[in-house]
Amino acid sequence: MQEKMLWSNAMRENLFANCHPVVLFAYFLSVVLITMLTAHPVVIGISFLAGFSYRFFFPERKRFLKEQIFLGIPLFLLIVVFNAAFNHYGVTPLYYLKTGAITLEAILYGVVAGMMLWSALIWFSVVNFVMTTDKFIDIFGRLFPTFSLFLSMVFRFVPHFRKRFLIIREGQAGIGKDISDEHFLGKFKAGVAEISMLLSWALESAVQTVNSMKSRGYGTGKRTRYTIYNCYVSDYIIAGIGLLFLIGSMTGFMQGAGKSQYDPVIQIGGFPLSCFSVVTYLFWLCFCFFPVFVSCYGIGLANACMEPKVDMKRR
Amino acid sequence: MCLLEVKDFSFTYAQETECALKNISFQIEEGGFYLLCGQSGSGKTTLLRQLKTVLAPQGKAGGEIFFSGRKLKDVSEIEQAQKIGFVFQNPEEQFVTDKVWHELAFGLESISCPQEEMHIRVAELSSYFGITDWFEKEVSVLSGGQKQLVNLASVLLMNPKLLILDEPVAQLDPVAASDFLHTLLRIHKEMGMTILLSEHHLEEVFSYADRIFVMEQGKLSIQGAPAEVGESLLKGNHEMFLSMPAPMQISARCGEEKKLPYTVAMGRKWLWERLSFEKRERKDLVVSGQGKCGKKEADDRKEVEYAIEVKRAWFQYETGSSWLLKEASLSVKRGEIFALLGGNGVGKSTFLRTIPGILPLFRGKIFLFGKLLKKYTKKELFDHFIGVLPQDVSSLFVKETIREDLLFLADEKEVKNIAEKLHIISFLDRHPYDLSAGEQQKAALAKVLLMKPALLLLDEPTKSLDAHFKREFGEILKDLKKEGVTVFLVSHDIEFCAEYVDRAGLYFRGQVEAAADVRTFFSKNYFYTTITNRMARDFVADAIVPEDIIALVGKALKPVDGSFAFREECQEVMKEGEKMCDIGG
Repeated sequence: MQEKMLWSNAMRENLFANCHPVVLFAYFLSVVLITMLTAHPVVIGISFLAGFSYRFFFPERKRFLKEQIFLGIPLFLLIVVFNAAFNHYGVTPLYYLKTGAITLEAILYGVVAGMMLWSALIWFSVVNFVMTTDKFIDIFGRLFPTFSLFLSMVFRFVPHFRKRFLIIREGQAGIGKDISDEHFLGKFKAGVAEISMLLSWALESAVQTVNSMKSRGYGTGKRTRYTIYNCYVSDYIIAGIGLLFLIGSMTGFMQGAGKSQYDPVIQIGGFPLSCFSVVTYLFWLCFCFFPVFVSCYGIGLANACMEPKVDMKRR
Repeated sequence: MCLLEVKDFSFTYAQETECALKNISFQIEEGGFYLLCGQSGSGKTTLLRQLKTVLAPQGKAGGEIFFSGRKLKDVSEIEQAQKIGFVFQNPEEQFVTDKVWHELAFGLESISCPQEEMHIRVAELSSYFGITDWFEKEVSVLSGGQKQLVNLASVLLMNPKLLILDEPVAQLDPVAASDFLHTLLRIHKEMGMTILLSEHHLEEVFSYADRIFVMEQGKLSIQGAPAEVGESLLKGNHEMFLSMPAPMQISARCGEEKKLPYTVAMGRKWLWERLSFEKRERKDLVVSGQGKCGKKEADDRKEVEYAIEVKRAWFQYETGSSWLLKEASLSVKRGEIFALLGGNGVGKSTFLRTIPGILPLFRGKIFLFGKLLKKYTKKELFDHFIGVLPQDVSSLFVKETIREDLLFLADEKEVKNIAEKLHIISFLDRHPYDLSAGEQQKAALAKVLLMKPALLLLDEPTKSLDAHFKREFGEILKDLKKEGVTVFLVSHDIEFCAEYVDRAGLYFRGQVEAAADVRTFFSKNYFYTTITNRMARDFVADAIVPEDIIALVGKALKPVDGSFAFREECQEVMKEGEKMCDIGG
């Protein structure tokens, strides 16, 4: 119960996810890009852990865990096995197959590549929750106003179309003519009739939408853009801190802490650990866990506000 | 100041020879509230669309339209977009985007309104209409009334001078419709908005209109103040009189010709004046031996056969959502007309859809004519047994024309018969989606009736029907009843149910409450009851239909319309009426 409440607070006060879309977009883009472009085990490992923990701030956690166990792990193992089975580079053979040697280098690279893909998938699952259609439209609207209107219309039309299909099916079911007919021929006929009607309805609907657009002045002037996302002070602060971490870690990576090589010999930048490389990884850790930190801070704020109310309930 | 002037305007659709609009002239003053009424197909929409150039259909137009002293054609598109606001009938199809806020801003975005100004305008209007709570929601999750409110708000944001609404509440249920119309009145009163509203549900707005236009076959036959229009419709023995408010009709049928009352309050006063002294004082008068419930259910004790028996039914759409049926039970006798009334979104339609098994029950049993629903095969169920009229009737049609759709079910002769009975011959060869809402409703009724069901399930059958056809439809139901058909209907239309239904029940919190014969049902209620009952309950507690008042006042002196022939009480009076019609015509 307590835990449930905590999570619901987290949802409401998920401070990071409420940032300005541009900040969010830039953040996720850089995290995913860096994760995908470096093949450095530490960098990817940190990114993986951060994405994994941040995912728990969003609902459907059980489903997410199931997906990781039944999809994530198999995918990861598959990449490792394939990489090792078909690549025979490297200098440390472990085992000999008919086609060539299984090498330590190939296995390790498989592990890194698998983690890379896996963490990217986890980040995308987060992005799915954070970057709602509204936010995407807002970002693209800045660049291509017409395209964003088009997207918005598509997002309206798809559920609208689906709902209509259900209505038609139900109407037909009420007079015993739907696709649950016993005979295959009847089923087929009913299906064809329903779909053809759905299409003509879609055309009709489009005509009405066009009328409504024209009536409200579409095409009379250059379109301006309304946005529901305001820039708050907190957005600048979050963007500033985030940028600091990003620059810090990028500088380190450029200087060699992010380099890695698996063919023919394994060379991983930043190792053995030096002061410089540890600081770089710390910066990267802060950058990746930044949403988690910010959201935890948000939960703290929410709990502070919520306490009197909790007392009331207990009484 | 004259805002809009239409001078001798005529219009013919391209590819058609007959005039859709003939010699129409009227003026709209700034700050007025104008009501355009007429039966379905009389050309209301065609006329309204002419008042905004981008919406005018292809065709040949004659005459002139002036807006603010200039020819409408010379007013630029961007100016028209701002100054003439247009709200369409269908709440859903007017939407362009997926979110409420985007929909509101759409018009402003199109006319290059700068961002700061947009923010201010959207903010103040959303606060005024109270849409802030669902500002960021998706349009698809809103209720019908909310949808239409968003449409209205998005048009008002452009700051129009003239607001045109084409039957904006035709597809809403009465509660939402009433709310919407009151919002309109509010912006009219508080902001002096000029409004031109086309509507055939007149009860709500009639008394507020400054001027009423009556359209008939493409002509503007009558225009004037509400009371005047009522009187001239009555004098002309006009079918449209049936759409006038109930107090007006009742008083007219009692022989009143001038100063007809048009609100319930006026109606009560009128009735008080008309009643003799002793009748006024006696509050215990009851309507006995009159009307449909005269033959009190004497056969109650006999074994009755039930057409529908729902026993302790539970239903919800998905786990976690609310229970729409909560141990609901109901029995409908064979051969009766039963109406389920109730508020908005309480699950009446859901209840109806569980009866033929379109929605599967979670728990509970349904018997049809004594046999468990599950034991029927699909063929048995739908082959001349059950007919369902869904809420969205357009979902019934799957062919290119209405005729093809009907011929699919029956032969040509039967189709012709039913088409004549329901007056759908004139549009048999049109595509179902080209019809108006009322025409679609009629065609859908035809389709369901052609299935010759023994059990008819109707979801809001009188929706978007005009008053005249409603009567005919009521009579069709009665004929069906004589043939032994059982009818179960879900409705918001209290007046219709009071006239034509045998028993009624109120649906509330997932259960059927207070199922009783219709006279007991309505006379017990204080709020959820007919206009007649509200007018007369101080004098006769159980008066629910106009005939009851007529019986009370004395003899009906004058018929209003030929369709009154159905009522036995009026038959004598009818003959006089026919004579009058002969002289008049």
